[in-house]
Amino acid sequence: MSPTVTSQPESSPRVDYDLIRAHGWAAVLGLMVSALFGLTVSLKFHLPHLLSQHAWSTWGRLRYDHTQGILFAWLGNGFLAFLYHALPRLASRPVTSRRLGWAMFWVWNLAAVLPGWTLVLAGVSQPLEWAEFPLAVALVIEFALVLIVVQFVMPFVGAKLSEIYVAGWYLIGGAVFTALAYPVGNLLPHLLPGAAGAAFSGLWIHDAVGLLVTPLTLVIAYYVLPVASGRPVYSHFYSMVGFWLLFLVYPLNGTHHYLFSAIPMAAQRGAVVASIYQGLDVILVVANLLLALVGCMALVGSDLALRFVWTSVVLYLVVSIQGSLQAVMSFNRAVHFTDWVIGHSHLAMIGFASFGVMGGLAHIWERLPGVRFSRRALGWSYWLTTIGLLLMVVDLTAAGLVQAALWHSSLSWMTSVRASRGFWLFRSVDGALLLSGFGAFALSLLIGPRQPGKWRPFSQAAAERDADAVAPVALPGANWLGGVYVWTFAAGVVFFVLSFVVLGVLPARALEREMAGGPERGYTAAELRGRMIYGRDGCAYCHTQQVRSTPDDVRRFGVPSAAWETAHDFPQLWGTRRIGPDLARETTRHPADWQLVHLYNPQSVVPDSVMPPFPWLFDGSAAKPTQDAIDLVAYLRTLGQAATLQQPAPNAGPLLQLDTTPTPSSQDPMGAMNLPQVPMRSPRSGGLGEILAFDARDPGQIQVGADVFRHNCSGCHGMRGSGDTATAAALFPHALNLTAFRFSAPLLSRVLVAGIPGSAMPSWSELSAAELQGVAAYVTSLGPPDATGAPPDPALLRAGSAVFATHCATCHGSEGAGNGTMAGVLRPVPANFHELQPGVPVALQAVRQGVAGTAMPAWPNLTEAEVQAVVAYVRAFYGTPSTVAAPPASLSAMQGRP
Amino acid sequence: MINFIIVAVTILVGALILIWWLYPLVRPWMEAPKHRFLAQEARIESARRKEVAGSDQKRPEV
Repeated sequence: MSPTVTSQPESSPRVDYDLIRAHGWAAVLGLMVSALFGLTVSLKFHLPHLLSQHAWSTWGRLRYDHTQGILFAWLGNGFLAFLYHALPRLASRPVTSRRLGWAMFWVWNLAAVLPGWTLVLAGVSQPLEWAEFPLAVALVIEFALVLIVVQFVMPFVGAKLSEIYVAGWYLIGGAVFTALAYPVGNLLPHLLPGAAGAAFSGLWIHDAVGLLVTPLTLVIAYYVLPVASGRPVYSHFYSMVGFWLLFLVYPLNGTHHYLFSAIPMAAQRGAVVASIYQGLDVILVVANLLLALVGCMALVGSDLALRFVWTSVVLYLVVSIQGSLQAVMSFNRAVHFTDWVIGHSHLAMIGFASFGVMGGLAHIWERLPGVRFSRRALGWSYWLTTIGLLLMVVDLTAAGLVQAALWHSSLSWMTSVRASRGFWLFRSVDGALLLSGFGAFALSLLIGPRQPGKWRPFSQAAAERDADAVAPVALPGANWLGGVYVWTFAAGVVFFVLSFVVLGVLPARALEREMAGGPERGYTAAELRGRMIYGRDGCAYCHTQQVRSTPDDVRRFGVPSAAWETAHDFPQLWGTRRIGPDLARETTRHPADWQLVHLYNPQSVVPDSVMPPFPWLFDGSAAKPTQDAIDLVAYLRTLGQAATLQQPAPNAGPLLQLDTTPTPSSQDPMGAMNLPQVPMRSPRSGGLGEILAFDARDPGQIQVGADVFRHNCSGCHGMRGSGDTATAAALFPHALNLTAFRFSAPLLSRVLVAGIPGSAMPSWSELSAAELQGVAAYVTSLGPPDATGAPPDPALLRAGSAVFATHCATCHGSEGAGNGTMAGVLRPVPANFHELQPGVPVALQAVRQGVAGTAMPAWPNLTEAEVQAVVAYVRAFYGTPSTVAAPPASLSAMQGRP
Repeated sequence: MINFIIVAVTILVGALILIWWLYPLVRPWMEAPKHRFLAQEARIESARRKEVAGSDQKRPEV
């Protein structure tokens, strides 16, 4: 079995130490920079204003650089360093060319990673998961991936295929299939709209892990475990079964990132089945690897490189079973979009991949002549990284479960954000531990005693001569069996193409007809610019744009997103994570001035928000938006607009009492696929009655209301409701001074549930009935006390009536019920003075100066006596019944109907 | 289509297992690469150690 060995001239090493060292150091540098990006991103969750003055350091851009850096700068360089060490052992030949190796090194680092990072920070990127580097950089990476095939796969072509060890198969499969899959996720979403493009995005999201990271980490595992233990893997046959299952099934997993979406259900179900298959495969792979260590487990304690790789293999099993579980629809319905998934991805990219690469680099560093290497620092690195990672994964998994439970409840979105704060803070601590572990790893390759041996230049010619001198021993029957490998490899390529067809092409074709019926109007130039900003600054990484066909999503966000709505979306911006709420139905949810204030300083309108500010979109204040901010808001106003226009007018009685109870999941195994017709916004199911029952004298309710007010309302209205905040001033109309008005209970209830169209006052229907009762009680308690003085002079009222009839009745109606002839076209609708009583000072000011942001003008030509009279007259309406009904138009406007 | 692929993958893997079970003579061929890999590793590692030993004789302390 042993090959014939001839000696090589002593002057030349068997592997290219220079390239190993160069890629190894580039990897370590990439790891530190990428981890710093990650830690900064984590810190911004509890310090949203950290580094927020500049566009380049905003959360979204750093997040893009974090994941792309881990994939390409750290893991990419780490894999390449290991392959230069492993290939001569696996292929019995040196790499194709040393010169090509150096060209690849510079292309990878100076033409891909560095420009990619820089361009993303400069705002040139793609909002596509695991494909965030801009298209120009993606082309360079694709070129480099082809070079990798030439450098590392071509030597196998010259070798005897029937002798390829499983690590060599993973190397070949990883290199070839990644070169095929990378354009799928980078290019096709630009060519195919919305849902059709998302099908391909899903493929790449999973292929980045399944066809690039996993195979190359397994190269390290299949290499280091046998070499360190001196024992072969338990069964090469099992390992090959595992290999082919992985490459046949992994590409079919991708659509499980978009379960309950508009992608055809057949593709979603297929992805679920493939994901479970994948979990079974990993059990086989890991068992086979770990069985090789039976009887020599003590080595895991003494050999640090082996310990890293062993941990990687164990965590591979954990993360794969976790991944299969996440793909099961009933479980996915709960945890998808939560921090559970972020914990899972960190377990995969650090626990499995990074531990594997760290072990691989340590293994080869111990064998590099002349380099410094510190086992002590490596030991520290292992424990710091292990503890940091495990704490982080436990923390994020728990956070995900809490978020899932809260999203399933009727509690507000911000309740889940507030509940997550502690977990996110702990995540930063874990991240700091991880970073210190990575730092210790970097030190282990830079300090310590020098390894024995003298550095000698690698000679390609000498390595080729050495390889030619090795003659593999032929086995009986190997000639025809050798052909089996070739055919099997061809079958693998065919299966990859099939997966592309099944999960990408067929769903896209199935969606074609539906998407052809999409909105005729595409985006305007301004909206397109806004969409570009939305993608550039990473909004899609906190806000999804897909209401899934699940009861919880429908209840919270509205009708499920349909494929036709995305007919003009190049590329899709569906997103796979929710830190903020879904925005697919944002169109009428908040007015433009609220959006601008929110972008300028989110905490000013949502005090507990963790969203970063975007001050570079403004000229110094929320009232001075740049064209970019205006365009971004214009784009936000389009989200769900087409679906709103398409929605049939509700005719099932009072809107606020519509039944939105979805089909019980027990009756629908696919999770409420047969959804009832629901309005664009999901209103409260309990109606107004329960809120009307508030008691403004109940200290308990007032206390509850004060707390809810502080979290949700104080940003605009101020802590004491006096509307004297900078935010209030930036809104048009300004946020109301609640201490200057008295409100009827029905008005308060309606406004809290439906908001005030034409103003920044949103609907708070997501709050519970008890919370809304509390707010109503608290707001009532803020207002002026009931009038106890003498009734107004009748003569004054008669004078006021005359002024009112002349100047005010056109809008406010002849009886002050807000139902004048102009009322139907005004937003916000004119005040109904039977339900709203302004205090005297604020009423005088309104008459004299008008109300900014509304149709109420100033009346400078009225005499002081007339002003006093009309104010007294208007105030006298409060609490009296109106004999004229409010027009349906104004009522529906209050309720937020289109 | 997806069902076809899953069934096809299952059949392929089943066929591999069947061959392994029915034809014991194939097993050494299937297992050979793992031994050959370790032999190749030993060969290169041995050469590396000779290199190191040779250079260390010339320059014992770096």
